[in-house]
Amino acid sequence: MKDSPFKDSIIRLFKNKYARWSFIIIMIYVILAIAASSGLICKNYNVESPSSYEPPSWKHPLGTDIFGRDVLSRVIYGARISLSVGFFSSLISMFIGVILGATAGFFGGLYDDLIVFLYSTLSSIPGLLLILALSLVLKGKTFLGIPLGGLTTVYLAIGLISWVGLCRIIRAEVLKHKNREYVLASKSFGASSFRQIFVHILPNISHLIIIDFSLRFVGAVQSEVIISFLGLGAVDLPSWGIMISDARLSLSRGVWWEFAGASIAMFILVLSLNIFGDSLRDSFDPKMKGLK
Amino acid sequence: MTLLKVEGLKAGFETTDGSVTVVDDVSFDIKESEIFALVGESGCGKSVTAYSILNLLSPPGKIFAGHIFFQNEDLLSIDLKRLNDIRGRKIGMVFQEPSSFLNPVFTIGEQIVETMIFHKVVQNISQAKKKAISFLERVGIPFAEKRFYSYPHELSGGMKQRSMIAMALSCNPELLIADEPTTALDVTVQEQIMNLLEDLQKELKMSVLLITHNLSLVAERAERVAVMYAGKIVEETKTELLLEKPLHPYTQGLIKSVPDITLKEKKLYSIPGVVPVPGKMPQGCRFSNRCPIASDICKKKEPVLENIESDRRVACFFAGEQI
Repeated sequence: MKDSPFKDSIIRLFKNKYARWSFIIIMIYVILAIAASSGLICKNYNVESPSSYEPPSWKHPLGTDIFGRDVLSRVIYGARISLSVGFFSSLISMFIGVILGATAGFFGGLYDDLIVFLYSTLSSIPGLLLILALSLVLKGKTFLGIPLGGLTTVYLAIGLISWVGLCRIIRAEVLKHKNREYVLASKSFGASSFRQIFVHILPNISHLIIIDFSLRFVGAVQSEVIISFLGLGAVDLPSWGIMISDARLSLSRGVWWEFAGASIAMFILVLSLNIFGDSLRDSFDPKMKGLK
Repeated sequence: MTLLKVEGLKAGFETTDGSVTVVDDVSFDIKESEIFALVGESGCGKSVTAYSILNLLSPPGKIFAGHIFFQNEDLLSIDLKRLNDIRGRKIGMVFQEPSSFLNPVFTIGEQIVETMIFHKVVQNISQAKKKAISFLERVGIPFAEKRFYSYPHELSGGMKQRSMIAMALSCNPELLIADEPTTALDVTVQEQIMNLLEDLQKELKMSVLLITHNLSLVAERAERVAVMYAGKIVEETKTELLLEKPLHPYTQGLIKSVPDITLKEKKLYSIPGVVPVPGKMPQGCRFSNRCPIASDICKKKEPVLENIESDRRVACFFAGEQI
């Protein structure tokens, strides 16, 4: 009995030491984020104290900020926000990208033209600008009864803008696959169009979705920091963007720890995600198989 | 009893330079539990006919006219949902190139089980699995239980074709369309696969539409044969009759081109010229430009497929004349 191609790729992925280490680092972030959001650690991230701008010490390893709050707790809490934004907005963009791309590629015709027009238009406007505009518009509105505030806005704004790349890839791949013989065979066995797309074609291109998800994740984490830095993201939550934005004024007074804490935390996470995403591509892309 | 009746089928391709008719006014019928063969050269429209039966042609391919009655239902006019019920469930299909017609990311077993679950011929997955393994055994795959978990790339061409047959038969279809099922396989495996198909046909009492360019495959197995040339059926009759006394000059040429081990002739006979390109058919009889006995009328008027004797149809003005 042979392993499935998926299992095979996972085994190959973890043979790579960069992939192993970056995965461990990401997992540490995930565990800290889960622990922080369930209140196990960093409960005092929002507790103010009179000792403001205290330099790093044993009590506060990363010092305190203007209100005397512990910077390390805030940095760890910030990981939760970054990761959740990365995850949920990538999920939204994956969902839109796969469905629109796959159906456009498969059905073609006017519907395809429409989708292509839609994403060409969307991609001709700078993405960040659109995300900012969308988060401004969405702020304070409700959607299907869910109040759109804080992070939900961020998820939606990033998710609704960043599906174009995946949509393009999936559309092109489905265009290629829909004329393959195995799809014709599935049709001859009575599969409907949707069954042909989602049961027969999609598993053949799932590696692209996984790879794109990991790269999209990094983009979303960065976008969240920028949105928050500009004051449009999470409110009253210690997002890294907000921390960097707050710290930039006090930087000139020699208070470097708040700025450094948030920046380095983001740097390490983004770097690990990037390395992991690259390794994912190396091990999942059939064209890269066997290459050293 | 007639199981499948193809009536005046006209199909081809719709291109930007206009439409090209590849299959022109083809009619035949297949009776219950018989093997019916459709024989012809490459490019004569055999496969397009096969695909048209299940309405599988995708653009630019198109069916221009005709009816396909399967158990008194016109497959070309029923709605897609009903058609999808028939595809795979009542009409199974086996293709030419087994390697590319199997989905590379699923195991053989998963693909057979999927078909059965989809058509609801089994109650649950474990029953489907049992049935799939028994089918794999039935088509002669050794270690069927192990092969159930094999991916297509781990199997040989013959094994893949056997799996494909197991898949096509998994829902007990009443008609099996085999589109050149042995073309991609080597000669010894060809023989095995054809024997297998014949055995299964007898055992399951289904009808088989066998599409091939190999007359010797047909000779032993099919009850009736239709010979196609340039998109038209030129002769249709019982296999013995056709082999014994071919009436159409094209059929005569075909049979003459089969190498015979008992004859000591140095050079093998071949029909002069090539098949005309669809869209650039000669005037009159389509075979006239290659036919050794063609006369003026052949170049002017197109012969129609007529009953010459009972159960024997030929489209030639000089049917029976030897070339």
